Amino acid sequence: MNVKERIMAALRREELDIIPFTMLIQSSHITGLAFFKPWRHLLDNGLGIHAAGAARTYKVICSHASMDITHHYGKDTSWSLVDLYNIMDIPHDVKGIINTPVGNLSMTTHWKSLDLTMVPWFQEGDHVIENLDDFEVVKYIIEDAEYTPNYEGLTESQMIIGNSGIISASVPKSPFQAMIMMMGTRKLALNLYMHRKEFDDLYRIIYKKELEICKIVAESPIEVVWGVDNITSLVTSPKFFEKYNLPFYNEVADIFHKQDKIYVVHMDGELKNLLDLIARTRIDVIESFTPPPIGDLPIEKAKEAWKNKVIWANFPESISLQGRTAIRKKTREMLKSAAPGNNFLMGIAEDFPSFMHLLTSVPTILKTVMKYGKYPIPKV
Amino acid sequence: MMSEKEFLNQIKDAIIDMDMETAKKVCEEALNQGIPPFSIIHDGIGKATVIVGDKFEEKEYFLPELIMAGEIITEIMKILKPKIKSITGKRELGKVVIGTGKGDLHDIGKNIVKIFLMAEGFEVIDLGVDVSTEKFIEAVRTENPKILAISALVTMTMPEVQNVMKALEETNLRNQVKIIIGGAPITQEFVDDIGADAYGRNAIDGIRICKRWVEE
Repeated sequence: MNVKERIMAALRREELDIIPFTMLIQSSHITGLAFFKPWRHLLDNGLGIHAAGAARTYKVICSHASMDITHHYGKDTSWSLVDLYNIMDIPHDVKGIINTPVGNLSMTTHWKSLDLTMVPWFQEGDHVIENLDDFEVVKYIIEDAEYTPNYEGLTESQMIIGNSGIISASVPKSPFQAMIMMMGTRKLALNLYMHRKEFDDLYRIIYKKELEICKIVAESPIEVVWGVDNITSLVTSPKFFEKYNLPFYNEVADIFHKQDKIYVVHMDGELKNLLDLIARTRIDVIESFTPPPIGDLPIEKAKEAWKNKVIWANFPESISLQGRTAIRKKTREMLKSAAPGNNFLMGIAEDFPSFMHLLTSVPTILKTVMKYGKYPIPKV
Repeated sequence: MMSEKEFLNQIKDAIIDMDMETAKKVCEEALNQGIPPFSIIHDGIGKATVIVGDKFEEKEYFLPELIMAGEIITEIMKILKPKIKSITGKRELGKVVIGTGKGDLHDIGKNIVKIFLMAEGFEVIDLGVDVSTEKFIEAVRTENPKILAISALVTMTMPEVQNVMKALEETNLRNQVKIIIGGAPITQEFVDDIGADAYGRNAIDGIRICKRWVEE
């Protein structure tokens, strides 16, 4: 089996030879992999790529809104174009404004490095929704947004990766998770407990629009659909998951399944308190499932509760700080927990403390998976 | 007319029920009836924080409820603040310096810890987010806190927390302050490795550890 076949076999719950080990990678980084020798070596030795977002299956346009993003460097400037070019890469503030006839939305963030391939991580600064008036502007933009299929270029994206991995088609965060992003955790709490009607109205509008998007994604040629929901029970507690997430997941899962798609959701937080609720979803793959010490749910318990789901486990990044022995030990522990290894993949789906950590951690995990991850893994 | 006990119970219940409007209204009424602010802090807010903490530990409450309870407490404290100057008998549990490590801009957890620590009677010096090692050291030197609390929600900040520990050793400040570390990627092993005093599994756990330290 090549790496792509191995990943797809695991996602389809078919038999495989070795547990796949993948890295979640931003689309634009893919082309660099072929030129960078350490990466090439890892790919040649079985590392898989999960290129989420490489396939953009829809276009969106808001006919009555416009957006401006400005980068603010303060006194870090110069007369020299060479200096300016270098200055652009230093940490600085980024401000965004979305203009609509019913009002504007503003966002700010501090950008640590100018990586033009990355979308600004706006929720770390001010949020799109800061007060009740912003609800109306967001509603306007959502209702103004027109989505159309965009299936061109998908084959090319898979060609770039070749047999080293898969591309998945991204869908927006599910409505409740999108609202967490838009307002931040503090405002989420305030709105849930003080402005529930406005909160629920916006939720319903997002829900309806996302069904349109999911129908377009379902009809695309990409088999794997990925929702980057970053679920953690700390924020999306059982009562909110049951009310807001569960109905959405099941409705869109049915849309995807009608078109033979595999529905993958990124759940990288604490999931122990959501164990039974996640079991009730028709999601196919729980991706970025992070076992202790970062998460709170052991792999064995998740496998037992989610017999009809695939677990795509995320290697807990804090272990990478503890050196190769600890990394090897944790990798073997994860593999043993998943024995015999059916419906199971391993991966890295989070940031590592530094590039050098990545270069020491990934080869160690990969070698351990290749040695001890042959299917079936013996049960101890 | 309600008794003092009934007023305090209503404030406590409003915090537990996440009812901002009732909490503020009853607090103002209680002050108008001459109920001492310290009683409101101790027997209204204080008792509510214990119950909210218990419910969080028992997985009945999660982060939104901790945040909301914290917001209600903050609003009540704003009402009480002008009346507090003349109060005697207020508990003084000591000073805590708190901040998120360098590179970390997430402050929800830190803010919850801060509000609950203040409600318990700690004086909290909040250094904010993305705090450099130098700033932590300077605060420990000048504020002389009993406790230094550092939060790290992103893995990239973990080496920075380690740098703070090294700098405290190098400046001979390590032994004058208890250090507690919290945040999603933090583990007991990491805290042991860098030589901090405690790992706060979550905000409530962290607050209880701080209380235990000053009550020892």
